[in-house]
Amino acid sequence: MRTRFVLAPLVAGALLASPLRAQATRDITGKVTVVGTNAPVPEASVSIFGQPVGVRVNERGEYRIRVPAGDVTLLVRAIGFQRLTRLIPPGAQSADFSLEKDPLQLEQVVVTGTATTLEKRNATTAITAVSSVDLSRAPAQSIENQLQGKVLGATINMNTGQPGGGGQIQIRGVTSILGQGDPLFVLDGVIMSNNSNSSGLNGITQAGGGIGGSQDGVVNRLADLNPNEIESIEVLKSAAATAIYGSRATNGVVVIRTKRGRAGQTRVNFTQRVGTQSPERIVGSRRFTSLDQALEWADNRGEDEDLVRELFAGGVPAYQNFQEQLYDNRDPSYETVLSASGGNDRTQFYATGTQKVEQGTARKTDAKLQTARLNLDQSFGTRLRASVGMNFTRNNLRRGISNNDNIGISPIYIFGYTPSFIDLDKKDESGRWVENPFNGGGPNTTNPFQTFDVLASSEDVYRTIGNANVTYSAFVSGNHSLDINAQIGVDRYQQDGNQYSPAILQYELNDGLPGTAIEANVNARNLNSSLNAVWTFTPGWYWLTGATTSAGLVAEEQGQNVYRMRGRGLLPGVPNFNQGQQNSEQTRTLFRDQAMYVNTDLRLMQEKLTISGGVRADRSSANGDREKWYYFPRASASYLFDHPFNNVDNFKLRAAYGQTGNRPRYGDRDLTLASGGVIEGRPTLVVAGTIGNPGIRPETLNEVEFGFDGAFLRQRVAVEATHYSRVITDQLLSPAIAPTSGFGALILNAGELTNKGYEAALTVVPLQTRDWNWSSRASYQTSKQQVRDLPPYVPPFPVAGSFGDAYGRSYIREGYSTTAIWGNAPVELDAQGNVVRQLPIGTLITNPSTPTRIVPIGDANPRYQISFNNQFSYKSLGLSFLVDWRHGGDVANMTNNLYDEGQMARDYDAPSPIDTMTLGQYRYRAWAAGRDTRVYVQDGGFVKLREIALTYDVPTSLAHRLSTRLSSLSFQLQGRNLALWSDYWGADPEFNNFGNTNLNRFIDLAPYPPTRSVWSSVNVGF
Amino acid sequence: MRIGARAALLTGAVALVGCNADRLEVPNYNSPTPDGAAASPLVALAQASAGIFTQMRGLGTGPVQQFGIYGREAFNYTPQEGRNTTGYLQTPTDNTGFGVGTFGGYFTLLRNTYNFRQVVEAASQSLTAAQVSATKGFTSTVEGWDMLLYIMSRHDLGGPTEITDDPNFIAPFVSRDSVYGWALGKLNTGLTELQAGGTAFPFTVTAGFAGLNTPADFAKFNRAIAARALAYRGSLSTGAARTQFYQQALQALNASFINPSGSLDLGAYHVYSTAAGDATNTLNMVTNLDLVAHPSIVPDAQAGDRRLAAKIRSIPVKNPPVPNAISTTVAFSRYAAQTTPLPIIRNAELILLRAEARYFTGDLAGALADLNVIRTTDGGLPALTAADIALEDQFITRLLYERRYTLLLEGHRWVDVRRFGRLNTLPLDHPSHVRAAQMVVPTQECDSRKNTGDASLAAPSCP
Repeated sequence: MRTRFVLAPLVAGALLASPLRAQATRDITGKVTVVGTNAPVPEASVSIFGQPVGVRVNERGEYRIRVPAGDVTLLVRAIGFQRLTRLIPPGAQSADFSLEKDPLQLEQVVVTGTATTLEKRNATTAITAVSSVDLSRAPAQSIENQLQGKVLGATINMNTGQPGGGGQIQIRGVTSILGQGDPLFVLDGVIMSNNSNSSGLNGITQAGGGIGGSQDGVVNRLADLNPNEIESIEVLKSAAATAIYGSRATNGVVVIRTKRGRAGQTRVNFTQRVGTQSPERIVGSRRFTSLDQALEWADNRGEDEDLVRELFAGGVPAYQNFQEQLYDNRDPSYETVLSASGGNDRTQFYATGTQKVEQGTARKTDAKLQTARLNLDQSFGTRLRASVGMNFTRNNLRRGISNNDNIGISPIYIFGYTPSFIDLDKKDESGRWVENPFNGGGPNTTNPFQTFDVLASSEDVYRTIGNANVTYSAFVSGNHSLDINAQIGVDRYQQDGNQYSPAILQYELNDGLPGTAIEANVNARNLNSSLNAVWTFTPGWYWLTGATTSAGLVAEEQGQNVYRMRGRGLLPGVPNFNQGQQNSEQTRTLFRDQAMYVNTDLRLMQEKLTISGGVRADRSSANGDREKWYYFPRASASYLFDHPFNNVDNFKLRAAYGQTGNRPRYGDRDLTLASGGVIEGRPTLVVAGTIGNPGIRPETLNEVEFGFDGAFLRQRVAVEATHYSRVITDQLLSPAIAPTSGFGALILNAGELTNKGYEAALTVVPLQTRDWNWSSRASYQTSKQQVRDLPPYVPPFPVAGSFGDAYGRSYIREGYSTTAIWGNAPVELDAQGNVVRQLPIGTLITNPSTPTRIVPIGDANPRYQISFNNQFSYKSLGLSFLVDWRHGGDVANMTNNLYDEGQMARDYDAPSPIDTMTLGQYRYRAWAAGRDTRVYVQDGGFVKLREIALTYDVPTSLAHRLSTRLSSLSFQLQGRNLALWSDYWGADPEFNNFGNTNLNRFIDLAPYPPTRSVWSSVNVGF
Repeated sequence: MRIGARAALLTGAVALVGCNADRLEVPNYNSPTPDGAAASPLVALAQASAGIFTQMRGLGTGPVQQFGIYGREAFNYTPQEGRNTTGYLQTPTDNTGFGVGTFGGYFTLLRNTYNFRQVVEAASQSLTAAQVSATKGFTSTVEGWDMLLYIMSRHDLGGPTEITDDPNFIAPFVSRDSVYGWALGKLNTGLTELQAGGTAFPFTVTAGFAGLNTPADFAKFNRAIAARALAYRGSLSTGAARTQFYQQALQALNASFINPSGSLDLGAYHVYSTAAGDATNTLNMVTNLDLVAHPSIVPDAQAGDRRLAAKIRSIPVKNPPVPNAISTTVAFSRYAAQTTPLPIIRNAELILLRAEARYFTGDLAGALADLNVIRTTDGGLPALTAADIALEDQFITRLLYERRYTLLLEGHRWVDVRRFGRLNTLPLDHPSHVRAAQMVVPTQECDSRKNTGDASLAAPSCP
């Protein structure tokens, strides 16, 4: 075992050092203030250079520290300020410090282990941290929104515009084809579930099979997180950083810390926000200008021409902008946050409660989030520290219907087939909604205005997240200390989905069973615990300034029980599935993982050189061999040049290597049979379509990363750049096999996926005076990946979760990116039948018999992404905005396809490349029933003004005039999604019909339109 | 050191509780495992046999509708899915298109019968030799039926006929005639096994096989399927071979449940139910409003043909979801409810098969009599005379007419016109429409075979 040799000298060092030597000491006192003022820096800490633990200043900025009698270097630091060190001569009893602001945010600590951290300036890997201030500049539907454009190296896309949000975070690209694709979310040490589970809408929409489906506009459970509770978010990207999380870390780790109490007078903070929302962009409808045009449409579509004549009896009817009518909810959204923090030297607390009601733009849709959190820190004597956190959340969502469906109920879908000259937003004399007479009429179709008024669709989540952390200083002497730390985390939630579709709905007769009631329940339980020993050795030598070594044991468990019941043909007015014809489904999963690790962080050469290394061993119930340990080593180093030249404050080179894993899915290891349904009341046993693999093992990500960080011109300019190169080996794959084998697919470890990318950011502070401040950050990221070394028995295969080649889908093919979009196209063939080239779009209109082949026709991976973040302030007035630019990234625009098929696209009548055809006809005919997919695979590049905030912090003197009890008062005007510039035809190129998916994440099919919101807030502190 | 001892104790406790390998033994909560099935072999036998019936049923409505569209009996005019129309009528040779229809399902059933043999093997200690033989006979018969249905869909392409333990094993495509031969071989083996099968099957046979649910009676079903295979093979052959196949078909018919004076509906059926987890007949007229009939069905019927009124109903004009296709005002009333059984093979077909076999073995009078049974009892039409079928061409025309209307929406017309070389009698409703002779092999199969690099394993019809 390689690690043993790395650790051996350390262990020897520990044994040789004699820790029991007594030393003469003295006390130093002083005050820490903000430079140029007399204002205290309340969060500052003072320590002896090289030692991890120091003392904190009190509210007045005063400190007292016990130091050795001789020469001593004191280090003073605080988040938001530049650090300061000073040599204190023997005999000196006091030292005051004044700190400069740190606009580049270099003074942070970063996670290096389950129980250890390192200062950001010494970090050996690329680090992205988002503070609570940056996070919550403008309210958002869910936290993914608030992270967009702020996490270098991550691609964050929302899935929908529905209230409650939901989105996908992919760090450094696609890392898995079959396995988990989401990062690991760790909240105060609790490994948090971000699962997505349907609340049963599919049982009505029949978009796919079953009662619940991935096309139901499913929200991922990160939506339960309340951003107001968050102090900071750190995103671990590099495998060298995430290796400490073992076999669940290939997708990166998002470490979230909540706010904690601080000793001192109890502070109360109150925030009230009020906002309103509107659709940021809708796809619109075709406008009819004459009866003839309408009749031609009716004739083409096989609709009732007499009805059309009737509607045109009084001239051309008014244009019905269905989408603006249905998505017209402008009711105020609001958010109230109350928090209190305080305590004494021994006990600190932080308590907060939030009530948030976000209205959806569609009628009768909303998201109500209520959370409460209590964080307690308690010292028992000098050796035992405990911290406890407890959160209760209720998240109640009414998200309406969107995305794909097969009964014509999804509004954007059905509007694509419903002419804009009929008014559906009305009721008849008896108070009943009018029916939609088009697109088949009767139970074949729906009136979305009726549906959104009558259908009751909700999801109610109750969630508890709790953590406890106990640290015992087992041993402190001289420059050695040993801490024993135990952590336990619990994440428990119940998701209760309810759908009630009463018999009066237009479509309800379509299955002969009027009335549908669905109850969808998810019970989830996630536990994690660890026991850690942390040995800190701080000799202060030049060659070994300090070392932190930790080792521990980890046990994790994730269980989930999903069951859904549906009743159809209900008794009138009773939303109870029990009374109708019933069916049900259930899926249970349970993972148990165990791990052991050892880590060390060495700070050498007066903290200029940092070397980090470790190994974690994991085993899991999901692996084929459950007793086998899989080892994930890591090693990384950085060297910091402190003021190497004039105008260069510091410059750090770093390099890292790490290995992480991604365990198989639940049940991948099992050879199974399956249920073939019921016949004559008898259960049936059939061969499963997918063959499990008892030898399945985790896929492994190997990554080499190197880069640099530099600060220049007295911290006015900062640059960071990183290159990474990843190879995922032993990929988890489920390739389809020859259908004539009688099976559908295999499960195996095979092939490689490579991903290379660059990340760079430039932060500048062009203006920094007493009154003026302007800081600006631009970041750039790009990545490219490729599938390699597929074994010969794995043919190119499509990935599950798409609508087939006619609309574009992901294929796993050697030599290509997994993000490539494949589809049909007319081609020129050589004599051997090989594709010479793709023929232009429109070929199949003029020459329908041209052969077509499945070829790569796009790529969902953007060429690059750039974010531009600006903050201005003048005295107490602040303005910030965030612009996100995605260059490239194709989208399979099935919404456009629907609107062309229904002959209802807003630009249907525009001129086309063929004189005799309108644009809509041209597109649809060129698509040729899916034989030329390219027409609807469109460039999804965009520039978005994601957030903008105007803040006014009322000066304390002014606030005190209102009430002397006020400690702070501020006002904000905030906007989110104010502008979207894109040539893309659809509503939002970020969205995906299937929610969070590793691949096929480019399918735009009748989504809920993106939401623009404007808020005003007031924040009062006591 | 008390503190050290406590820490050690704590460490030990966590190690025991958290890191005990036994805790990693997590069962599969969602799917049965072969080990679980092996533990209760008779339960497995009961459930796996029921599984064969559901798998057979899975090949019920799909192929009937697909053959129906290719045979210009039916259209699937789902408004939001034009490819149900274009895929069949315009681009049937597109390996990725909708016109590919059912393919893997035929082999899934074959995989299930392969597995079922192992289930029987595991349960054999609890069964008598006769019961084992009966079970084998059942399995062989199902396999013969399955591959006959397959070759009806792929015709000249032929197909693979081998399944092994290795899921990666790829069997070569063999000729159409070899597939017929394989299916008939299975049926003949099955007959022998059924004959040694004693008095009852050791599992429940569905109500769709009422009257055919003992080994002896199931052998009659076996012979009915064999008769169909032999007649098809006969019609696709010439000269002595043709006569020989038809003679064998007559023998098979004699051993089947044919009964010219019995109900024409006697036979074997797929059964449906609206109960939870069960399947419904998706060709039903209540919920499937997108399945409509080809308009030619009305003018092509002879005046007074009762079958038209019995199986066809008028509907408001139904337009195709795509341009370049025709609208229709007729749909089917063949399957009245979601639970109406779907024929696998029935007496009417056997009588028509006998008419055909008799004609081509020289028994013109017998052929006329059989044809008239159908024509008069089912169609309510005047009987034909010998003059009406004097020429072979006349007979075929008459036979195809009776088969078209009696077996409407049971998956026959396309196969029938093709085997008598009359594919071009199917109407083309638009210049862009084509007549498909067979359904092509889907891309997934093409790619898997291409990927082996072995040209002898290539599938026909692949790009």
